[in-house]
Amino acid sequence: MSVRFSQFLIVVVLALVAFAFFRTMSAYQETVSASDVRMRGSAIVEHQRRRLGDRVAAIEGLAARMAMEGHGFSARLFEKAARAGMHQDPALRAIDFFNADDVHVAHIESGGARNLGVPPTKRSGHASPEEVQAVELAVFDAALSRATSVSDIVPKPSASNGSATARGRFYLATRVVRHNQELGSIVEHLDARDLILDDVNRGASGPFALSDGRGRWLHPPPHQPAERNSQIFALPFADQVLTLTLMPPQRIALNPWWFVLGWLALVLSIALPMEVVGNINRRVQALNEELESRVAARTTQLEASLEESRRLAIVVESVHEGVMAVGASGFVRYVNAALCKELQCMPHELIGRQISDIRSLGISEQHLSDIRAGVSATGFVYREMERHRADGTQYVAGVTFTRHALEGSDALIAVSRDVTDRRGLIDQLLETTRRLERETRARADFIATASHELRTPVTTLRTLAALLVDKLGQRDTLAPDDRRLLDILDQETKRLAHLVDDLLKITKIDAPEATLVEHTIDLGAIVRREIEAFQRFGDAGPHVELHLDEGPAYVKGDEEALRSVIDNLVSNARKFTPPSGRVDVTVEHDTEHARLVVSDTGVGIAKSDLAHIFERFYRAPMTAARAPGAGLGLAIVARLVELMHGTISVASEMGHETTVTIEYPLAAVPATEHALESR
Amino acid sequence: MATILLVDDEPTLRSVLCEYLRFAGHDVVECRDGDEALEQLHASAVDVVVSDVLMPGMDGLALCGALRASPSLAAIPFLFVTARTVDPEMKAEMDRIGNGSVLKPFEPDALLKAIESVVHKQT
Repeated sequence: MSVRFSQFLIVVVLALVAFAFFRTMSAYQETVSASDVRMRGSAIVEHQRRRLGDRVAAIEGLAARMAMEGHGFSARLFEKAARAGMHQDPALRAIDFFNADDVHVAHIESGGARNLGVPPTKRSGHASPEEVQAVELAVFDAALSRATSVSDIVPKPSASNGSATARGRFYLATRVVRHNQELGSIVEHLDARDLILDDVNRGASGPFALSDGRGRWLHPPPHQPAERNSQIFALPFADQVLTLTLMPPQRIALNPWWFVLGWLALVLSIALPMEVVGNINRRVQALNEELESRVAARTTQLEASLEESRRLAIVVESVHEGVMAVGASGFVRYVNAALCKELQCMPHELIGRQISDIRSLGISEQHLSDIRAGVSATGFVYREMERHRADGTQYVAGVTFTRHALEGSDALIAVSRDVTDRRGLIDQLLETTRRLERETRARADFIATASHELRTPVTTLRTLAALLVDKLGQRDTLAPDDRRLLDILDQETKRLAHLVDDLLKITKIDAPEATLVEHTIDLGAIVRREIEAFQRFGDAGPHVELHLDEGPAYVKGDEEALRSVIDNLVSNARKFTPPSGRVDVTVEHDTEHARLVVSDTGVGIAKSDLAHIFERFYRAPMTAARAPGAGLGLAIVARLVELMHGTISVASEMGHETTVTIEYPLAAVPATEHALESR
Repeated sequence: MATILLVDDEPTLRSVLCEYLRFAGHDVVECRDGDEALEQLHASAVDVVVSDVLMPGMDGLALCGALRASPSLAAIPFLFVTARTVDPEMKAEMDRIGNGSVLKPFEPDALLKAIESVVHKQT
């Protein structure tokens, strides 16, 4: 706003200055034109004076010369001489010669040398207008000839009509020295208007007015009143003085306010574009400044990210692992210092080369495409590969290939480190594992073979022992010691047979390819049958209580294996539970699982043993003292449960209770006949 | 009291078992292998056949098959004495054509019970 106001102020001041300038210029111009008019007027006056003087002198000179030369008066001769003079001076329009004594026959001639006058006597009737005029002229001339000064000269009648007189023609008459009446007069009729106006027009170069001494206008007065700058000059003409009014050359009258307005328009037409240009300039400047600030901010950002990149580059360069970037076309783009150190080479020996061409890296085209396939499938690939150092030695590098985040899916980043030591350890470990596996296998094979070979002799022994007990036991003569020995034989052969049986069982189900037949069987029904068998024994062991959920609990599996599991668990529970205690067998099921729970109120299992009870040949120290066994029962159970896709868990409290829980996935209800069969 | 045809290639076990079964009150006819057993079967009547599975010459399964194929012998109960390591197909075949099996090593008492059970079922 203040800017606008100041601009307005500037315009006003400029307008005032323009006005003052205009006034000064006008005054100067007036002064100049006044002096110009004065100069011109003086020049005209001087000129006229000279010319008029010359003419009068010339005519007078001519007449005088003719008179003095004694030619006598000859009108014809004078006229001739006068015409010659007229020829020389075009201002002399008409020169009449007349003889006062012969006025009626005088020739009156115009500039066209036409004879206008005819003798009145030679015609009859009234005179024509021409004749009348001619007579008037003659009378005028006669009067003129009698004049002794210019002031005596009367107005000359008009050649054409009366109105001419009204226009105030002025004649100059020059009286010739009349020293002889006969000689007559030479009168020069000069039209002052023609004579003077020509000259004045030529010299005035501007509007002017001319009047005679009596105030009659010889030249029409200017239409407008005489200006302030008009100047009046006295123009001596014969014995009269004419008044010449010279006006300065006409100028276009200019209203100063128009001038001011024009000036303002000019100023505005210059100032407005300047204002517009200024505005554009300011906006450009503002934009420029904004741009500069944005550039500065961006530069700061770039510098920060550059710094970050530099820092990252330093990190990559500082790590112990070798880092290599491989482009999509297989060219090595970057290697860090650690990789060069590993390979004992310079970066330029690697960068820019096809990776499969670098022998020391040991990566073939095939490797590369395998790695790329692996990376695109799983995101990374780990390989251990032999690399060659520059000195010819080798090492094993563990390399992780990942996708290069910036350069498309085929570009890779490889991070590697020397894993020779670890590789050696792993190889050693693997070898040991393999050897152990071989040995374990051999041992298992040995056990299998041994127990296989043992089964016939054991059966023989067992049968023999049973036969002996049967046969000898009936004899009354048997000494008590012998009977005890016989019992020991019976027990130990039984135990031997049992052991061999367990060994054969576990050998069979331990085989990696071992499977069980998968029938749909009712867990509840099988458990009930087994438990009823136990209950029938009626021995001194603890009572076995059965709890069955309503409805069948179908599972997939082998009935014999399941019976073996139940048998083992219930026997175990009874074995470690005093006769006063109890064993509970529960079968329950929900929508997904069937559960067999065998719990007893026996001695329990120590916490330290719980983790090991399913291992082969493991016997808890306390158990070993209490009951015979090879430590295979629970191992067989666990394996059989596993083969039937079940899970087994044991919970125990020392001295109070043990609970074994087996959970099988529930199977679909079989067709009716199958269901009946399994019952 | 039954007549048992006992087939086993192991002579000691066979003779001990024979002794045991006889002591238990049964008549026992011993055979070394399947061929011999088949001859014996045609020669005299038996109530039950107890046979080992793996034997040189005609094995237990072949013997049982032959028995089942013969119209006069098809009805005789057949018990297998076998090892636990027998493969599942053989086991299935045994279950199909035989009347039961006893796994070695076994309690002689259990064998006796199995024999008496099938004979009892037969009569």
